[in-house]
Amino acid sequence: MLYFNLISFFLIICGALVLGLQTPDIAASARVYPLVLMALVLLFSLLIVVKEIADRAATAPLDSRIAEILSAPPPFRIRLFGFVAIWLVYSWLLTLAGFIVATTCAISLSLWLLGIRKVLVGIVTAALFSMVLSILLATVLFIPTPLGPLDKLLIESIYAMQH
Amino acid sequence: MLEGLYAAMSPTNLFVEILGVLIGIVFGAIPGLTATLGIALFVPVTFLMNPGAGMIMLAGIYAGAIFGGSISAILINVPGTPASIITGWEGYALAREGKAPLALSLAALSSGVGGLFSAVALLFLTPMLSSLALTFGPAEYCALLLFSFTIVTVVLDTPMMRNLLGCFVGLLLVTIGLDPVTGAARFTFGNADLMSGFNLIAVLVGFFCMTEAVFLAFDSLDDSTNNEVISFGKGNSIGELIKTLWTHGITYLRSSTIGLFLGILPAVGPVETPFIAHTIERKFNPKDEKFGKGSITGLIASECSISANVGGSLMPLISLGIPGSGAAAVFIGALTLHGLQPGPLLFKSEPVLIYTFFWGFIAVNLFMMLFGMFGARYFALVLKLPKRVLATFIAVFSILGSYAINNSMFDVGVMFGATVLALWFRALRIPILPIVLAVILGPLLEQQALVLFTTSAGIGEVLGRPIADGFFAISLIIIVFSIVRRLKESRAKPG
Repeated sequence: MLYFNLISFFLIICGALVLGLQTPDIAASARVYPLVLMALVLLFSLLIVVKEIADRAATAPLDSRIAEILSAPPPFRIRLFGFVAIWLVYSWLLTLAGFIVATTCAISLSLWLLGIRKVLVGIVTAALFSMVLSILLATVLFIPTPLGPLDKLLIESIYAMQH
Repeated sequence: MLEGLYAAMSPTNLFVEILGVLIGIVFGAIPGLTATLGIALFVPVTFLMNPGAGMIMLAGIYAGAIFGGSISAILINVPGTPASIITGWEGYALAREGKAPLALSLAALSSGVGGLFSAVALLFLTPMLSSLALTFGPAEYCALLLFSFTIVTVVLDTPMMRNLLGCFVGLLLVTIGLDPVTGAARFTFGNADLMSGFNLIAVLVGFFCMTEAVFLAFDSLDDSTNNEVISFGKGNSIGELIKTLWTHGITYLRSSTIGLFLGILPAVGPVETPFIAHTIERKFNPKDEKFGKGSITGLIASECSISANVGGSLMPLISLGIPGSGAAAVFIGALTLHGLQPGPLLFKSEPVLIYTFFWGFIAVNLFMMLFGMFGARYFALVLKLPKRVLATFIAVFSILGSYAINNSMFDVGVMFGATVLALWFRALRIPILPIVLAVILGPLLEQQALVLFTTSAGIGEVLGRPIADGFFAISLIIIVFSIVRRLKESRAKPG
C-alpha cells in the first residue's frame, strides 16, 4: 500500500512538472495562475508523501471498494479487466463498424463475460436493442452516432419510408 | 412568475415532469445507480428539448431518484442511493414488522413534503439571493468561492490534505485549454481538441457513470449477492399517513429546514444530510426507543431532509452558479450545454425559463409523492434487474452520451480518462467531490481573482467590503474549528 501511494504521488508530482515545463511557452499574464496551482499540487503531494512515510502508512486502509476488487480471486479480476477492455475496444470499433454492429458485439460480449447463462438470448437482445436504439436516436432524439454500412442502410430505409 | 407557472403546466412540460420522475424513481430504486448517474446519463437526451423542459426533466430525475433509493432500502435493506442508509435502518425494520406499505408510503409522503418545502423556498428565496449576488464584485466572488472550497475540504471525512490536493488537481486540470482572460493556449501540446479544454459533461460521466459501471460489473461477478425482497403485503392506510402530518408536524418542519440549509452549503449533499437530521431528531425525541430500529419519526426525519436538500442544492446553483452537491454539478454542465450561464444574470436574461423550472420543480415533487405513495410496489419490480445488465447498459450510455456532446471520440477519451482518474484517486483516498467542484468553479475563480488583483488598490479595499469579509471570516473560523477538532480526534485515538 505504501509503495502504491508513493508511486502514485510521485506520478502526480511528475504530471505537475510536465505541465510546468510548458509554462515558458505561455504568455506571462496567463501562466501565473497555473504556476501557483502547480506549486500547491507539488507542495501537498510532497507533504502527503512525507506524512505517509512518517506514519508508516503501509497498514493504512485502502478504499474498501478498490480493496475488494484487488483481493478478489484472479478469475474475477480477469473478467473485470475484460469488461473494461470490451468498452475501450467498443469506442474504437464504433468509428470502424458503426453503431449497430459495434453495440451488438460489445453488449453480447459484456453480458457473456459477466456470466449470462443464455448466451443466444443475450446476442438476440443486444442486436434488437442496438437496432431499436439506433432508430430512436436517429428519428426521435436526433442524437448522432458513428455510422457504419448497416447504420447508413437503416437510415436510408427510414428516410425512404418517410418520403 | 405567472408566465412560468403556465409554461410549467403545458402538456409538454407535464409530460417531461412525469417522465423525469418515473425515470428517477426507477434509477434510484436500483442499488448502485445514483441520482447523479441518472442525471449525467440523461443530459444528452435533453439536447433537443427546450432548456426549460430539459431542466425540469433532469430535476424530475434528481427528485425521483432520491426517493427511489428508499424503495430498495426499505424492501431489501440495500440503499438504492447512498442517501437512503438511514431510511434503510428505519424502513427495513418497519417492513420486517409487516409494515412495508406504510414505510414506503411514509417515505414518499416525507420526501414529497421535504421536496415541496424546498421547492417553495427555491421559488421565493432564490430571486432574493440572486438580487444580492448581482451586487457581488470580484472580492465577494473570490471570498464566496474560497468559502465553497473551505466547506468541501473540511466537511469530508477524508484527510484534509488529500481534500486540498483534490481541489488543486481539479483547478489545475481546468487550466488546460484557452486562458479565459487573454485567450492564450495553455498546456494543449499542439492538440486542437485540447484548445477548448476538457468537456465538463464527459468528465462528469467518467467520474460518476463509467466508474459505477465498473463497480456494478464487479458486483455482478459474485452470484451470491442476490437480495431477498421482503413481501410487500397488503394495507396502506392513507388516513394513518395523513395523521402523521399533525402528530409529527414539527419533525417534518425541522427536518425539511435542516435539509434545505445543508443543501445550500456546497459539499453537504443528500448523503450526509439524513445523518445530521436523524441525530438532531433523536435529541428532540429521547423517549423514542425505536430510533434506528423502525421509528416513524426517524424515517420522516431522514426522507424529509434528503428531499429538502435537493431543492437547497439548486439554490446556490441558480443564483450564484455554485453547485450544492455532485448532482447539482451535473446540472451546471446541462445548463452550459444549452447555452445558459448559471448565476445571477440568468434571472435577468431568462426569467420565464427560471420560473418555469421552479414551478416545474414543485410539480415534480407532487408527482414524486403521488407515484411513491400509490405505485411503490410496481417500482419495486426493478429490484429484480441483474447487475450485469445494468453495468453493460450504463457503459453503453456513458460512451454514447460522451460521444453525442460534440460528435467526437475525443470526448469519449476524456470520459475514460476521468474514469481512470476517479478510480485511481479513490484508491488513494482522495475524494472526487473537491475535484468536481474545482473543475466547475475553476474558470470563474481564475477570472475573478485576476480581475481582483488587477483592479483593486490594495488589501484595504478588499477588507472594506462587508460581504466578502463575512465569507472570509466564516471560512477562517471553519478552518480553525476543523483543525482543532481533527487534532483532538487524533490525540484521542489509541496508540
